[in-house]
Amino acid sequence: MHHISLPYRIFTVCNNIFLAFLSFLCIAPLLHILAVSFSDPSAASANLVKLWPVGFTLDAYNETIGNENFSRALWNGIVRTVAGTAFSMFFMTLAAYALSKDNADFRGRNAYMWVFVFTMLLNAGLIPTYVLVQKLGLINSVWALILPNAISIFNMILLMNFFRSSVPKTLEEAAYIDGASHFRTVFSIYIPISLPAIATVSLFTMVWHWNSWFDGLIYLTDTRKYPLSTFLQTIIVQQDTTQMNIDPEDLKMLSERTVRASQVFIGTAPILLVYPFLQRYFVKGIVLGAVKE
Amino acid sequence: MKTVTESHDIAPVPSDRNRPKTKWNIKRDWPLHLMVFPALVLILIFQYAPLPGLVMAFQEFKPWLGFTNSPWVGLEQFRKMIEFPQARQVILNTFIISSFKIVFNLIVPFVFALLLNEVRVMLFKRVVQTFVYLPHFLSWVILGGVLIDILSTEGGLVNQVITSIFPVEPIFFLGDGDWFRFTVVVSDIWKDFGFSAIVFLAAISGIDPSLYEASVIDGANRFQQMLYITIPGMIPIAIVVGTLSLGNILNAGFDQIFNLYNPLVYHKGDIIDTYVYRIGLISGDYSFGTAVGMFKSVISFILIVIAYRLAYKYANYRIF
Amino acid sequence: MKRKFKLAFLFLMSLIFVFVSACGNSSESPEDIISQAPSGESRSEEIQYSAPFKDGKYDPPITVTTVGAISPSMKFKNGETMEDNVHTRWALERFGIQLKYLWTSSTQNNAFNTRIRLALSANEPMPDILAIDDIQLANDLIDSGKFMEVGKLWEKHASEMYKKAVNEDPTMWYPFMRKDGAYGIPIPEYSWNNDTILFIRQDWMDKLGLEAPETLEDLEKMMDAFVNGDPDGNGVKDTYGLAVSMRDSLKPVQATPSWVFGAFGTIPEQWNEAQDGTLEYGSIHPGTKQALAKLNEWVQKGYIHREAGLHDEAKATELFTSGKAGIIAGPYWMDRTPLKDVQKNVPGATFKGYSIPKGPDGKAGRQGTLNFRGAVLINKDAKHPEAFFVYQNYLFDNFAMHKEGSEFEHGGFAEGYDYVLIDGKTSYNDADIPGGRVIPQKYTITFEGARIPSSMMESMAWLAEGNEPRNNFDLRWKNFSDELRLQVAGVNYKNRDISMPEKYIGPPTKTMKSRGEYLKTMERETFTKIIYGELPIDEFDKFVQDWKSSGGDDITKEVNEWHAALKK
Repeated sequence: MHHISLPYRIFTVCNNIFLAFLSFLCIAPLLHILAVSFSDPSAASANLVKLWPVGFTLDAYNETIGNENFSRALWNGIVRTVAGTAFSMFFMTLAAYALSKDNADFRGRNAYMWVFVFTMLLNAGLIPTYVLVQKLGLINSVWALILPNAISIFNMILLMNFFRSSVPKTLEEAAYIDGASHFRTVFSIYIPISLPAIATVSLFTMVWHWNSWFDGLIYLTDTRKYPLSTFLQTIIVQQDTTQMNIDPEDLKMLSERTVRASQVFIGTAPILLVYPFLQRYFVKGIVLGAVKE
Repeated sequence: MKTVTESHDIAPVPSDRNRPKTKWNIKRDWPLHLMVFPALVLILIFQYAPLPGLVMAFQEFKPWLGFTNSPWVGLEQFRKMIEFPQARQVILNTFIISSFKIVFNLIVPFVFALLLNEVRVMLFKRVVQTFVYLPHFLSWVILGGVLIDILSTEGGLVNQVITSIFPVEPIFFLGDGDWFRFTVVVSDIWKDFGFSAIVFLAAISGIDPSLYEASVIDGANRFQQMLYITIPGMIPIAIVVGTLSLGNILNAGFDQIFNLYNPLVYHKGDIIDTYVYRIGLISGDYSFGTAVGMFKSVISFILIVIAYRLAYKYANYRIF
Repeated sequence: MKRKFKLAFLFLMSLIFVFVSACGNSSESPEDIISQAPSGESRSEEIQYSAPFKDGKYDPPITVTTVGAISPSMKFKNGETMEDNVHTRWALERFGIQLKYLWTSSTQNNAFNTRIRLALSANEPMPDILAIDDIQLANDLIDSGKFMEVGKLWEKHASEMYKKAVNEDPTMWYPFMRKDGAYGIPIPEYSWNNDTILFIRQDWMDKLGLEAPETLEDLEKMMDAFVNGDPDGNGVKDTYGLAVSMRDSLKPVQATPSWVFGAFGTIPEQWNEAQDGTLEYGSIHPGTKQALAKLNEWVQKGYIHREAGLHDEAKATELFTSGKAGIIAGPYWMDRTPLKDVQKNVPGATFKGYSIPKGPDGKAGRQGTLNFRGAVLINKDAKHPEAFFVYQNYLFDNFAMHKEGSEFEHGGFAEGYDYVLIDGKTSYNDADIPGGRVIPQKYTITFEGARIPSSMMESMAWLAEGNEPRNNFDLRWKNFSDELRLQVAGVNYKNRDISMPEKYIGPPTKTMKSRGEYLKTMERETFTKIIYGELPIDEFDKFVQDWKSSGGDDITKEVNEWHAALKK
């Protein structure tokens, strides 16, 4: 029997209105930027565009997409993100599983944990990391983008906690008694049960890779290898007040707000396409009684 | 009397807490060691190997002299950091802004996840969730411009709404120190709460449905379910996220502040990173930046350890 | 008698000897740190080639390494890249110089500079030739000891034209001088390129019957009319007099207010030459106090947007381009971007360039541009250092003025790239050029090929007066500019004498490094609050005191030591 009382109904209505309002609040600026991206540059740079394009034109998108290097950068970005995420997730998941055991079940676990946690204490910074990457011969290779941050302690700890809380001890012990190896346990039990967590951490990792542009800038010496995020950075002109000599040609591009606006969407679109597939793992229906809606 | 652990009537149970020694049992545990191995190697190479470079913080580093030949100056950089006139104010600003952000960046997504969880129409649920997480992808460069517009005291949207409802003067959001902090915190939460809520949504998804079933039998209504099942199910993750975000206590958000601040609000809005950035512009000083980074990391770590201890003591929850 | 004489003579000699050696041994004075800038007066000798050279090119071709700084305005077409394009092919063809790029990087986000610093830290080999436009970075590179002294090389090998260009302003050597000579060859840039002129809505002036403002007082009357006279004819008082940007600095490039300070005899936030020949910091000059009071007055009267202190350059120009402000100050090239937009956004809007108005004492001043853009450094271990001069001399001799009879005589770098010939006439139109217009001169080592500082403005001013082109260079600018462009350029040239460029172009001094940021923050906070009205104008005097005692005096001393050493 479901208890759908009157107070609850009122709550539901209010809740829905509130959430709808919140959604609008979040989407409004994006609508504005979308409108700018389809507007005439003169109107856009004078800030005359509100929520609807003024002087509709596809020029801004053409500027970026029509650029010879765009499709190459797009491909580079996809390769880097997919490879990077798969690589990271694979090794982080395995390690997180192992670390989710108690020290009694896995001797040395605490020692390992401290080694990992300790990295949160100190970070060497840009120069020493660069020197290391250079000495490893990774300069100008996509591996320089994948390897250095492959293991995120934050994500790994998150996964580890999810493993601990989602998988009942009894299940774990039952698998052990049945003679399942650790590898089997991970793949057959932990991962399927923890899909929300896996999806979440994969999303975080993917977004991080996709948006990460600075490392491309310093580790890749060949501009044709730039992933999309780095590429977009090089055609958006930021106002740099420290420069004593400002090239009027560069400044001309600065005022092309429409191009900048279009790049927000060009850069985000691929993630948005993938998103729904991951979303269904953590946005679940309500459980009312025994029936999942 | 034989304790459970000493009896050999049942097959060895994995939980064997009373064993005093912690010697490695490679024969039994080798798959686990293998699983940790790649992650360990990567960490050792990319996080530990560059650490000697931190010696930069104790030198007057010049790129062409490198780590081995740059002159040693001991704690000079740290002394500079503490002695710089605005240092204290800047560190205070960073703490204040950051603390508010951490607290609200925990509460707001948490509450939002709870509210979203009550939505029954799947389509609406997914649409809301998608819309709400989109602002995360906007850069502060673009958002900065938008915010300056809508928060303006002359014709800005927000002030127009405020002055039409309340009989007050327009609020100088970006020009008054305290309002600036408020704006920084609120806009940051607005931008990221949708994305941060994902973790909590995942936590909710992971709650055992049988708990809900049992509660229905016991006569619980939705509200009680939320209070006694959902929220407790999310607390562990909240603790983890909260603790780890303490690692960011001294990173109040460079990008955001850099794009929003101006001389009128330096006094209350200048944070460590913007301050160091301006110094770096004048002197190109890598050593100083490294010293500041070290300082930040050490403070963060101490806080994380404290939080870990507290969580263990009061919630009996081990984060690590 | 003779003996006394001898003794006296010896004594005198020894005195002189001691005196001379004592002087020469003062290792503390800057004279020892910086030597004299090359005068460029010696005649160029025949270049000694380090490799077989015949008919103007190296045969077989030599390889010269460099690195590529790719700025956003550098576009490529036809599948070309920084490493392989019309320019690199031309260098090989023309000089037998094969340019090899060790790496390329975007200039955005300081990426290129960061990249070089990282390369130094990791002990990567430096290229043979390196052009750096950031003075601080150039100084760091010079201090690394990896680059050779080039002043003497320049004196020997630079061509007449090259020397003429650099000698238009010999102070451009200053940042790159060291104890034993010059370690960077400055890259001459067009003069007055970012200097300020006023742009005023001509249609508003016509509607309200206003004349060109000669003095600050005239300007105030004009701004008053713009604010209260409903120039946009919509019956609402929603217009401003002047659009300014004061968020990041009081002398931004676009929408700058620094000329208000110039009307009182100074430019803030930089070092200017005082009456007595020393350098003084503009922000503590009494003229600054008067200018700040003026700006505050304008905020109170509504001439300037109340939140101008929050506006960056883009936001400020919006006010003009959306038709809300009647005046904006900035470089002449703003006429095209972004100001032309106002004609699109507001029907009937027109604007023209106007001279900077004088202050109550008849003074006028505007912020200035340096006559150079960074320098070229040559690697200590470069095998063919003279190759740079083979390359650059040619560009100065032929490209700088589009010499008649040369391959550049049509007013561009490469046909089909930055220009096409239609019926013998040059067109720079994007629509006419197959594949769109790209600018190959930007691919060159020195960022823009070769520029003689005074040439461009002088040429445009000549054309603005209605004269016919005298040579290919004039012709190029005639083809490239429309009437408005020539008009604003003419105004720019007319105002050249009141330009006040930054006079301290050395590396940050000791006290600048330790107290500079603090002083700057204090200045920005105080000034912004005064303009905004949060602090009374007399706070300025307190500021000057604090500035001087918190390190300002030390910095002034250090700056002048540098200045004195170089002036001789």
